[in-house]
Amino acid sequence: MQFTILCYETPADFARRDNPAEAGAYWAGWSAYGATLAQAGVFVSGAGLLPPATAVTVRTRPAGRTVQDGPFAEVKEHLGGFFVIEVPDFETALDWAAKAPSSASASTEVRPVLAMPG
Amino acid sequence: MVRPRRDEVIDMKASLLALALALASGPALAEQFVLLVHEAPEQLALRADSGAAGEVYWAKYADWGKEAAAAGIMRGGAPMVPVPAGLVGAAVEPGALVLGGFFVIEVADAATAAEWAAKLPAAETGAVEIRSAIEAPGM
Repeated sequence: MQFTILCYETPADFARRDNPAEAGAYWAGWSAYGATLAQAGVFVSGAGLLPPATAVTVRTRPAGRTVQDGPFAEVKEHLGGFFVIEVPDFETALDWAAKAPSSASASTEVRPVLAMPG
Repeated sequence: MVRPRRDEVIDMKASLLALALALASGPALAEQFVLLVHEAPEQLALRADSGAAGEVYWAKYADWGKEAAAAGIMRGGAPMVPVPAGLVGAAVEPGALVLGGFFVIEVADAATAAEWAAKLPAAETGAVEIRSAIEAPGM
């Protein structure tokens, strides 16, 4: 089964990316995590995301299109990246999610990927 | 293996040449963006609808996906169960939009990404958040 591991981060986490004193350890943590998933043969795909300040939200309504700067929701933790993994069951996916650096500093969400009909 | 016809080979060569020129011309011409698809619970419920409404829901996404694939911009994506699996059955706040899936596309710039986002079915019923992707470490 495929699961998506959604890695949420705090503003402090995002700030670590650009702080010369912390960026090395920050990226090393994610790099090690990605490598571990790959070595275990569970990695399917993934991407990191630029901080939420760079987000743009689009809505199309009968009155026209709105393009709003900023993320969709005002929340304390924002999606910082995700991994899609292939594992036998939810428990295993949860174990992998727990190892993500975001689980220690913010939160990590596990979602089954839906099979597309047809 | 089927051998390509001569005119196809020439087409391929022209394409490869154009690609090589594009790659050699300096700054990256394409950027990856992640489209985070937020939908209302009523829309998400259509996924499990075995009737016409469910067919229409999936057909709209299939059409968008085909168009994106034909344009050569599709890099990935997945529809997800709209609540964390550990919370399946938990009530979703009425009216709240929920992250239901994502697409990864590669286009020239943010404005082009916004054009594609606006064409997603969720842009009409919910909201599509566009985030620049970075090369994820360890991949």
